[in-house]
Parts: sequence; C-alpha cells; structure tokens
Amino acid sequence: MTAYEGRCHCGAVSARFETQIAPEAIDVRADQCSFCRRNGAKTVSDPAGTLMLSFRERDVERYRFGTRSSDFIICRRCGSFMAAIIDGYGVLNVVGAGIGALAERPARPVDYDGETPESRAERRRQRWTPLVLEVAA
Amino acid sequence: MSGDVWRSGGCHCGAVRFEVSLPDAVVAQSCNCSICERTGFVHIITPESRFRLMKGAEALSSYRFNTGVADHLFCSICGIKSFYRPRSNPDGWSVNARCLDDADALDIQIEPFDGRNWEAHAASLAHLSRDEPS
Repeated sequence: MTAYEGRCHCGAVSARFETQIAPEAIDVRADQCSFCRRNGAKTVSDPAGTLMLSFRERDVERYRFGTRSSDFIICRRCGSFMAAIIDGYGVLNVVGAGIGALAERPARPVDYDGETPESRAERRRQRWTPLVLEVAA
Repeated sequence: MSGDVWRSGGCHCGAVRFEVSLPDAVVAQSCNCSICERTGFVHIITPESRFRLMKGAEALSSYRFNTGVADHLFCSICGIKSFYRPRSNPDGWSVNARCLDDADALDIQIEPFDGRNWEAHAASLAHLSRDEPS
C-alpha cells in the first residue's frame, strides 16, 4: 500500500490517498471541464483505496456548478482546489494538494460532458475513491 | 503596442471579470513555486495600464505568505485565481492564461520560470510590467 499525503498551500485542508495501485500504474487524469481547466487540475482515484480529507468546516468553500451533483472542496484561506466529493466517494486533485510525485506526471485528458445525471452518478460510484471525512467545527 | 486588443476573462462562477490588453501572440510563464504549482497558474504579466477589473472586487479573497509582497487574489465563491499582484511585478498584474475567454484564439508560448529559486530569476521578469514608451 502506498500513501500519498498532501495539503493546500496554507495547510488548512489536508489529504491522504491510500492505494495498492503501483505508482506508475496510477491513472492521472486531466478533466477538460471549464472548472478543472482553470485549475490545471489533475485527479486520481481508486475504488479499492481510501481518500481522507481533514479540515474545519469554516475553512472550506463547497462550490457547486453545472449539475450541482458534487461538492468541489476549496480552501477559503488560500484558494486551493483539493477534491470533488459526493456522499461516500471523492476524487483528489493532486495539483491543489501539492502531491508532486503525481502532479508532475503527464495527465490523460478526459471529458464527461455528454453524461446523463444517472450515468455520471454511476461512474463516480464505480471509479471514485471511498471517502473518509474528518471535519471539525 | 499597436494591434493589442482588450480581451476578457474571469473566474469560473462569473463573479470576477477582467479585461487585459494583449497582442495576438504572447509569452507566458509556468512557475514551479509552491503556490503556482497548486493553482496551475499560467502567468501573463502585464502593466497596470493594460488591466482593468470589470466586476467582482468585493468577491476577491486575498492570501499572502512568506514576504507578503504578492497579493494572491482568488474568487471567494469558486476559488479560481484569475489574476493577482505578483511579487516579481508589484507595479503590474499577472493574468492567468487559463482564465481568458478566448485563450484558444491566442498564440500563447509558455516558458518555464524557476520560482523555487525566485531571488535568482525574478529580475528577468521586471520589464514585463513596464509601459513601453509611446
């Protein structure tokens, strides 16, 4: 098992991604949506792994757009985009979390624009990482 | 410079909108420092006179660290850093090429900037925020 640890720039939001996938086999993706492109985001997930996010609720903005079906976790103090989450699952932005070992890798462009709400929800449940949230008041 | 055009851009949610006067071909910097790495910022550094904030001043959050000279501005709603006041060019602005509406219509040449060794390299950017003599 490999654990990748990261945090936003100011440290208010921390992330830990645990996976059995070999480092070179991790699929680093560059979502081509309007939000991820502005962030230069690169995301990773593993349905058999664990994503842990720790923060105080007052330190994060939960941004929603488009189908409004996930929360984009943004640090209110430094602006870093850390992860997108739904109930029980999440996908980590290794760029925003400063995880160089993965952020410096070339990313595979992906585009989910044509999805229906149902197929989008199903893809996320199938591919995103089981999520553990440690949220303080 | 003749041929420059005012081009629009902004954050993701639409709260912050700006215009910047640019030619069709620009050189931008991709910086490897700790904050630029996290925001994926692609720098188009411009003089004060060639940038104007159209809306959203009240939506901007400010983040400062280290020397505190740079004013890292991001939208408090969507988090996007579409422009900011850079430490290398405190007399001008740096606009995020990723946040231009018509970025695909521009010829943007991206060069690396070694922000991890900022002191050794910042002077090479100073001229970018100076107005050219007319």
